[in-house]
Amino acid sequence: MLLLSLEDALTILNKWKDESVPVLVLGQNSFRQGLRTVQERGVDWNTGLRGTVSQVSVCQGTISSKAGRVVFESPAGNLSLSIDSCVFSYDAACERPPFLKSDEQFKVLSCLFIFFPTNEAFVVYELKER
Amino acid sequence: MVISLEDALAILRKWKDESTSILVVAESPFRQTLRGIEGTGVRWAMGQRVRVSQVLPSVEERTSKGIIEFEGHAGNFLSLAIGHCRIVYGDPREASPENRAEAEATTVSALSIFFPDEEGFHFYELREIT
Repeated sequence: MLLLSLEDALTILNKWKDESVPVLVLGQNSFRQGLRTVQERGVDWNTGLRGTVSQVSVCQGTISSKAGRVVFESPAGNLSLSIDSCVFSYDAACERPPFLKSDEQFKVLSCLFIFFPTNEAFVVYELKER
Repeated sequence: MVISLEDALAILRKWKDESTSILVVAESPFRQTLRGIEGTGVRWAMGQRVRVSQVLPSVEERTSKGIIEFEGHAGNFLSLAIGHCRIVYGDPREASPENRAEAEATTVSALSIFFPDEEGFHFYELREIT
């Protein structure tokens, strides 16, 4: 697992956007003990959205030096993240979490972890059609 | 109107039994009204079309987590443990005058679930369009 800067994370997200890579985004609070289900102790909510990266933007923020934003879209909805105060890590070869239903259509390649200071975290899985 | 966990779970069970179409809109942190990702300080915002897939377990103990699960048609999902949340039931007739006509035309009712960590999840029971 590799720690990334905001710029590096935006580069990966931009690449996935430009190539229309299918992604699965998982979100969870809290992430203190890793990806888990809400049935397990310490998790208030989790969510998943399968779609593509539709927007990646960066602009000069008023408080922090840069404000990064990413938007994911799927036929069933959308998810927007404001990621300028996040910590990022990247895993070039990762697996889908065991509690997710198996997916015959897509396999997971890499993943990008986005950690908020508030213990909320989102994981973006790069998918590839089998 | 603030309602109890038991009342919220009863509504969610009814939505599950009737396979009600639901729009969930959520953001963190939530302040008074939904602001979207453009709002100052909003870390994430999302919207999804879902149906209730599970309501677990029956609430007979004060320690119950009150777990609810939603699924959408495109592999999207949302799971919440709402045992420690503040829950508000809304009726479209209670909407502000400028929004009331649209609220009444599109929604039957709404359930807002607020976590202590400031996330707000708003579930809109959508009116069937015939």
